[in-house]
Amino acid sequence: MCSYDTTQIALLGSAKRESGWTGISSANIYHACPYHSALDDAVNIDFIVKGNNRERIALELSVESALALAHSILATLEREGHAHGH
Amino acid sequence: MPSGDLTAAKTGYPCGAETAEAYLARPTGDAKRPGVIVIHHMPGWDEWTAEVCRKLAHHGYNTIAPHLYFRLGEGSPDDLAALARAAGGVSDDQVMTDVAACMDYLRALPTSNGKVGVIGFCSGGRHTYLAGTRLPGINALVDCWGGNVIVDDPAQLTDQRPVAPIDLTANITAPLLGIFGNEDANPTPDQVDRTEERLKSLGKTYEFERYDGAGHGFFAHYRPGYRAAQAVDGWSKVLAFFHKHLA
Repeated sequence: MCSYDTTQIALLGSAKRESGWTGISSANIYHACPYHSALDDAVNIDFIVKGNNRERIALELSVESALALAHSILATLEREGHAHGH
Repeated sequence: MPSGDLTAAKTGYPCGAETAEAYLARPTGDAKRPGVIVIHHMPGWDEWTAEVCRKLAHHGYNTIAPHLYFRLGEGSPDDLAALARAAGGVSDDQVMTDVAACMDYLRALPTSNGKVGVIGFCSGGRHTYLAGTRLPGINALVDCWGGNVIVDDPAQLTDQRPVAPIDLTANITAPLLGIFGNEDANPTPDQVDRTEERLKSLGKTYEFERYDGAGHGFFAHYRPGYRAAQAVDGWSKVLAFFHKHLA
């Protein structure tokens, strides 16, 4: 919490924002004070726009929501035979 | 000593060869008064930071909050905070340069009484403690729940933040007020204990206010962790401390 500890991962995919779809190149993930959410702490995920690392599409999630999201992604893929880590 | 009118606006201040960006709030009138530097928290130079400046101006202080991320260019405070984080955070050296320049700026105001205090929140609390160890001429320090003053994991020491502020405690000359919640995870109560032990063993002038039922950032009225009774009492301690050492 409230450290500079940040996980950076490369990603292949797209995200949609007000101006339309864009490619994304990576994400920065950190647990810190949020800027917008009415939470004391949040799991923040900044999806970085491909070709413009100054632009992000940001999420601020409660810890419970972030865990549920992560587990749901894994469960969805595992149902289709994609093992974790592959 | 609440005052009447005040002015508040974004401003520029000289910082070396640059004009750096800040928020300045100060009472109107020609009376001499102290100055306070507000060091913002990790989420950035935000609305809360401006509110703190206006509160302190209301109580009679020329107050400036440097925008620590302005060098990252145009953008909203939260986007610039995200850029700063992605780059590993602004360096301690840069922050100290900015705070020193703000001290000069406040003392050069026609209404300055020559005294300057520093207050910071979260990462700004750590910066405040560090400023007390590195910058001569500060008259009062208020560290509000600054995490990572003590660094238990050496991996957290980086090029931007190469030294744990606790290791520089011997250099502190200004009186220090610490405000902490006993349910905070950074700093933990144990870390606050150890910081206090270091200050005490070195004979420093300090006051620690530690609140039960409060966690990190309990002054923040826009979060569920706001604790009204503790925050009101904490603010009263901050104002009394600044009045004692800066008036």
